[in-house]
Amino acid sequence: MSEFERIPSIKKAPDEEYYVPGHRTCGGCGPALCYRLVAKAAGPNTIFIGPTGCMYVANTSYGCGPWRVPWIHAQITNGGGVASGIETAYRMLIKKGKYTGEQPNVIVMAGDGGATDIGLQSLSGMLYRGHKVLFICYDNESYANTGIQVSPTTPYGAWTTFTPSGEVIPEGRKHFPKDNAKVVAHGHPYLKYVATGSIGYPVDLMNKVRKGLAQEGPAYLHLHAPCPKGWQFPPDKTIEMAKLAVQTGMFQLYEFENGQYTLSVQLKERKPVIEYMKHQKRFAHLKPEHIEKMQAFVDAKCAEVGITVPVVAAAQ
Amino acid sequence: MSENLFAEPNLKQITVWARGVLQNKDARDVVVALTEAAAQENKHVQAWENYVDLPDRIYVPVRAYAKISSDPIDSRYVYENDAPDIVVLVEETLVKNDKILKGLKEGGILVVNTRRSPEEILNFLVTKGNLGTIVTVDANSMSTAVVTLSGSEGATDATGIGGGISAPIAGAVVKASGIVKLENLESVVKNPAAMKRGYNECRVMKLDKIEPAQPVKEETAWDLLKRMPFAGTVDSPVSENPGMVTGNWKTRRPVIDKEQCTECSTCWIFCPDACITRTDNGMEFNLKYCKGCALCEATCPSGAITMVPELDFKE
Repeated sequence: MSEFERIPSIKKAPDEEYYVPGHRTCGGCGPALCYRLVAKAAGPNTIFIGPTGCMYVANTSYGCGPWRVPWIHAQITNGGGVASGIETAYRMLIKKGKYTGEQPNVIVMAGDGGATDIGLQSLSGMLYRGHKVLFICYDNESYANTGIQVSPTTPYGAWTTFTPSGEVIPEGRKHFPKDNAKVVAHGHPYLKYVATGSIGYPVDLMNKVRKGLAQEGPAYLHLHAPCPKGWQFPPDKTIEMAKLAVQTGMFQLYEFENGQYTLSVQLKERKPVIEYMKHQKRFAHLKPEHIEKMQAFVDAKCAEVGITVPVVAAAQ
Repeated sequence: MSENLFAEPNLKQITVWARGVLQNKDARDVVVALTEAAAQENKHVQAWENYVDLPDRIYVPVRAYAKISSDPIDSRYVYENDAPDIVVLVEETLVKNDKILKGLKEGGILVVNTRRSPEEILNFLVTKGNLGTIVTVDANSMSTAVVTLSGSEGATDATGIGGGISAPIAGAVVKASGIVKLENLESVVKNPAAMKRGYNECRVMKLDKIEPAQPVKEETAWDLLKRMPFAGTVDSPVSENPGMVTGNWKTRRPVIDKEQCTECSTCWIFCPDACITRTDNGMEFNLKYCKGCALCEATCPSGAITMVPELDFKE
């Protein structure tokens, strides 16, 4: 890994914007904030690959885009493949003396569809071949661009247009979500760095982007990106949702290197999952037994990465 | 002088403007309720959403359309209403949008969901061209908006038609225009009591004088073709993307109290739209692009930012 400049605080974060005003994302959009923070951390020598998703469609309507750096659309199936080609082309042009600039940062910004579902094979191929690319999943836990359909990362119990609550399946979504950071972490020998990030913790997120880009090979970053439209909470609560997800353990912040988990925030205790779920209409139909099932699942996920602090309900 | 082969003299067009996601259902319900009522009177009808506005995003202006005619509708494949007889605003700050009365027929009607008076709303109109009647109805006091993704973008609608603020708004449309019979509208809406309140309590103001609409130069298909990027390649913007100006999405705008502001940068880091700039003079807001999401107000640790209704400002 090469050296990189750590951002010490919000106040000392760079002023320069590379994801500028003027895009058709929702008011209070979590994925848009992901993009802005990633672009800010990565800086000017960056190329973005955008597989189909909200961050392609909402950002490029119509015939324009908000990126100050080069951006290219990839199909939802092949973000990893397009990035592999761009990374290799620059590497070979530099080797042959046909390009005198520095190797650019190559970043894929894929949604949960483009990273954990339809695009998973292309991501895996890219990691397997060892390309020096940072693959980022901005996870808003549904196919949001097409009107909120279920995706592999949609949480248990969440309403989507494909998982409505009914008599037979009262909880709506009956599966527990795919954990993509762990799917890719084990089984890709050249993968250098895996981490999770949250827009509620922007300094941590930006430093993980820089650390991922400083690796000598592929890195994977999974970012939690609350979606006010799909999760059905008011748009001014996006940051509160992101923080509550971490404070309840619904989303675990860590780095995974050399087979070891390193936690990114030291929680003194965890809030019960209901503290997070009660603000979102997608969970409004759930009964106490469903919440209990969710709590047990989250407890187990936290234990997996070493979050062992107790769950403590707020004093009434 | 040849006869206009495309003329449809008995066709009435209704265009409904609303805010994406939060009012999409109510906008759709206004046109569906009115056309279903008209269908009971053996009219030819059409109700649909503007595909260009979809997928809708929170606060983005979206349009739903209706066509009602005693004749078969020849223009049924034209996907936007080009010359509305009636324009409806489901949310009052849309009145600042200069596109709302585009193509309005002479003596056309504007119906606005607001607590304000017709005179007050009239002051905010960028252009009054062709406007004959302005109607205000306080639909939010008569019913509650239905916020749902059920029925959006082709999904099955399991919530019924006209249960929310669409009912009183449709009632006001009928009061001002008589486009359908009240009893037919009553039979299709889920909340007939609210619909009747809208009909009875709306305020109708006829304008003394109809100002002619100023002709607007439209881009032709050839103009658009000339602007088409080569092989899908466009230049990167530098400080803003003028191709997608989003300032008219907001219903409230952030106002900062610089005395209370500690310049901690929290609002700045959390703005998804990069609409806050750190300057020597403190935090500056870019209202040309601000969508009014209020994340700055929600995250400010010192309570220095307040969201103020857009119609408290003339500009």
